[in-house]
Amino acid sequence: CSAQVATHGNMVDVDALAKIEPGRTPQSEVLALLGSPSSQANFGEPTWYYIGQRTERQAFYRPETIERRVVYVDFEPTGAVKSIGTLDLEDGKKIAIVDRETPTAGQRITLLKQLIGNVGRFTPTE
Amino acid sequence: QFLSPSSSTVTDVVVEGTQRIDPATVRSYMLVQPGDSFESDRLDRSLKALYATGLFADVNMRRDGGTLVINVVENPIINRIAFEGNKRVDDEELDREVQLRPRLVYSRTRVQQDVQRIIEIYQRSGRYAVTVEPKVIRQDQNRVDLVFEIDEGELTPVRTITFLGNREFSDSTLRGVIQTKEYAFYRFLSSDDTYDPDRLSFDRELLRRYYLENGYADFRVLSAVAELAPDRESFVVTFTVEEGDLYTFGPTDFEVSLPRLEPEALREFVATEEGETYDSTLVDDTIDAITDYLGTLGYAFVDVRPRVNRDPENRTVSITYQVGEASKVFVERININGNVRTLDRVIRREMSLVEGDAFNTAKLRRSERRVRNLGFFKSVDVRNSEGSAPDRTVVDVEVEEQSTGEISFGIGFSTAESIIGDIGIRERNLLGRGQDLRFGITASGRSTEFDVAFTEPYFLDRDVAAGFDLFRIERELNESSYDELRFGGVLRASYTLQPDLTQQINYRIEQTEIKDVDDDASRFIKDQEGTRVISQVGQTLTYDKRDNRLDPREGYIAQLTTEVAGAGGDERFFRTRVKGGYYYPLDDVWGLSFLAQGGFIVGLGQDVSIAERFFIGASSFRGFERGGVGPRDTATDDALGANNYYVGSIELAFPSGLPKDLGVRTFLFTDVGSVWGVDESGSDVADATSIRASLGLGMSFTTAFGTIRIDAAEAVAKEDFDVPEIFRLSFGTRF
Amino acid sequence: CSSTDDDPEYVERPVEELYNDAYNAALAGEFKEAAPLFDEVERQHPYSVWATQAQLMSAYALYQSNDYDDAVAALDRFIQLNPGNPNVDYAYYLKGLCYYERIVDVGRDQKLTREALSSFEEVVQRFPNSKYARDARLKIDLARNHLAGKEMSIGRWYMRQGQYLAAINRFQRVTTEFDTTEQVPEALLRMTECYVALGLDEEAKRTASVLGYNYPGTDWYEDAYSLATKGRARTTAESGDDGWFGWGVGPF
Repeated sequence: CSAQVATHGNMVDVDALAKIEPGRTPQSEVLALLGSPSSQANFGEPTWYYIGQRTERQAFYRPETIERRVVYVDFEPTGAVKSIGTLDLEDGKKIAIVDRETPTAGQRITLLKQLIGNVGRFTPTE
Repeated sequence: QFLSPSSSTVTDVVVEGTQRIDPATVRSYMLVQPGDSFESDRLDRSLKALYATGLFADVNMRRDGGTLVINVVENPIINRIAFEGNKRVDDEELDREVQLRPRLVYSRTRVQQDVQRIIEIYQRSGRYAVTVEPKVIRQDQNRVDLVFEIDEGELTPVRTITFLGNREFSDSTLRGVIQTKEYAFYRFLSSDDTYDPDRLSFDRELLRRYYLENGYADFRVLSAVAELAPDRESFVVTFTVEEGDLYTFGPTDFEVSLPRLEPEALREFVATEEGETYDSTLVDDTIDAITDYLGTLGYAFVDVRPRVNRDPENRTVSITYQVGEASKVFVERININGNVRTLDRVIRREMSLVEGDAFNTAKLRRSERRVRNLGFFKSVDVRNSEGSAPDRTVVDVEVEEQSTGEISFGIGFSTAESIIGDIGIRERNLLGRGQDLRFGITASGRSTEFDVAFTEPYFLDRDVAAGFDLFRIERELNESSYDELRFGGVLRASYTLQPDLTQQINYRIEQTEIKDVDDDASRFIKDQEGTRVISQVGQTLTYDKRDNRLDPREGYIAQLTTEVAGAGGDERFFRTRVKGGYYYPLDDVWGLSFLAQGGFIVGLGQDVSIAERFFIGASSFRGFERGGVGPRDTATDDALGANNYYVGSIELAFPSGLPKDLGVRTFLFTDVGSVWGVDESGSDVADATSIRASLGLGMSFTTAFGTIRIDAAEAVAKEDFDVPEIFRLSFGTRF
Repeated sequence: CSSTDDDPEYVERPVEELYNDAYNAALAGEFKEAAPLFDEVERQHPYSVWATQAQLMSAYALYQSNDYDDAVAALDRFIQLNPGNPNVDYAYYLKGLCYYERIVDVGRDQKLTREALSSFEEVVQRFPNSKYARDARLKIDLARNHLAGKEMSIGRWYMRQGQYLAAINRFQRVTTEFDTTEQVPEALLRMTECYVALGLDEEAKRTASVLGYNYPGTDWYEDAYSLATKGRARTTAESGDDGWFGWGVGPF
């Protein structure tokens, strides 16, 4: 049976990627070729990430990522491209997400409240 | 009057005339403070500021040497508000709409605004002849009482609606298309028969859409005019239209400016065929299909625009789909607002867009459709706006919740069950999680049923709707002279294998008890008295291409159910059922539908117990009572149920001759089939594989109170031991 | 000529008597009765010195009986009529409380949290040394932490769907715009998890080291460190998830 395939994020065009040469292409040209980065490194020297993936949803299976393209572009302090690299699905790892969550308070809708429809007092220590 | 400009500065600011308002308040609005100069422009603006507060009836300033004296007359305080002459609209409703309240400051502008609000309430309920007079009564301590004297005037219904220039479609068809209706006694529940200018402009849009969908590409509404009849008692609405000619689709071609894309590859997604009558919705469907296809090819930024070129000579419309690169824009963030009860994820999971995705309008529209289909919201508005960078956009989903809890009562009557009553409590959005929980109790002359049903639409974050049912059914089966008690539970999960092809798998554990068997009942039934446990695994495959589920007029449906009982429990059988339906509309009233169903059950190493066999008749085979067709113990005249059956039926819907919006539908039908096979045998067991058939007339009549369904069917071919039943009536109302 | 459509015992009474009745009702905790009585004081004697005080007391009574919207409307009117009143800081503060006490859990619209935040910020900005400013600052932090909590819950949901890019941007918003809240350590761990899942090991190590530097010795850092170095979280999955149907009761 056929599956529904959806593309998410920014699947960077391979031809545009080839035009970028480390050491020479300025930041402005990367912007023109690939558009503004999907995400940026928040610490250390500036790095731009372009992340795109295609997920497949089929019958009762959990949606599965079938292809992923992660492009990272490091920049020299002067602004020129220092290095560029591409990762795909195999480079990724399946991880078990830690279950612990930082607690947040707030009125939760309980069955009783939903039936009666009123929302009582919020006390942060709840 | 304000001061002439002069160079000396303000030494002091004095406020006179304040009674209730604090002088400091007046000073806080002044742009001129001690030490500034008497500058007329700033004084003028302070004057305006003080008036803008709405607190003062009059403000004037004068200069007394170095001091600036501000003399104010405070607006009075409203002591009480009263409404007079309002019969149709009660005081509470008026009070809610009016902004002025006791203890608020009175001002002429606010009173005028409230008068306008009252007039609007009356206009909304169709009373355009209303007049409102505000009266002020002075009280002591600068207070006033405010009375709105209302003269409601008569209701102004729409007496007649006429159409000019319509050749292809009759006036009555077009009246069915628009929302405004002519005044009629049975429309007391709806306000559609009152004049409402917004609804009239919406009617123009409905007419345009109707004609565009039926091939009239040149159609235009020249005018839609509502005149007050000379007696000022009602309105006459006249639509003048210019239909233009009937168009058919001409050739379709493409102008593609996307790299590496073959235009011909898009042809399979075109929903229109050359020569077919023009229909604007098919063009939209084509655009959606092409956008989705290009999305899967990785063209994230695609813009599909139809260029419609009309050829008036041979009346064809040929469409050129211009497929081009849209600007590269990414979704920066998706905000969901207004969900005071529904959880964020229940809405977010319906979105076809994810943050970081390439933006495209088709996905935006589909997301809005999917959120709206949840049925939890009064209104859903999905919009995008400029993001933090030119190639970034922010998507805002604005929803307005509505109550999704339903308490429903139903009363009905049917010849089979006599009086039926049911109570249902349902919450379609349990705890805002999008889960559905239902309790139902149904009681009738011959049976009581209690059931609970729960469904989680995204079980384990997958596209799987899973849930469970609990039930307890107790029935008197007179045609087989015994009572039946069933209770148990079902675990079920359903999912989509392909668009339109869904499957449901389920496990059912149930205890069935055959009790209170009459003394003169068939011996076969007496042997089976007692309780049995059934543990059964089953699946249902459904291919549904009908236009809608409740009242299908077009398309077809096919369904296969297979069940195996034997993993535990006392019963071992294999049961299969097949159902199919094909609906063919001739026009918006005439319609043909072909329905067929069949099934067989076979014991696996043991006989099939009576509770599991097929009892065909009544709704499944009209013209016969329940179980009226099939194996029977002729000595005691008890129906024994059957292991095999098939029934086919053809229905022809024809005009009832009554006005269309009375909701009366009439049709001719014939049911043909056979019911046979039972594990018991003996001289008194009558069974035959011959064909039975019945011919009948049916009528269904939907009113605001419920639907009445009457079927009269004559069994034209039957075995002598079959039990016919000519007349069936069922009436059910939900409120 | 105007029919009295008001409550039957509309009778002119001296202001002190009216005020005392209202005040006693409030003292006795009968806030539902106290509010209309305070309104009577103001309506019958709008120019008495008691009227202004009655306006504030009526708002307080409405707040105590959970009629938050009416309380906010009464407070807005008090603030507009008496911007210079000595108790006006309390009016702003009470308005903040009217929103704050209705804050709903992070899964739902946070409009009330944002309105509480802006009201308390107004208290701190207009009356920095008022006795209410201290509690207002505390509630500002709690409200901001709540908004950060919503970003986290959406980020975690995207992560479970395998949409790591969307998740990273949500967590980054917590570390930038809500950098003083207690959600930051978890945001850094989640980002480490996403980078490891994508295969960006360098970025994962950098994020984990920032977490270790700022929040040493926390469980978050322990997990991040072991994830960035060994590719596996330290702690086994505690049963924090709430079952198949989200009821948190066994499989259901």
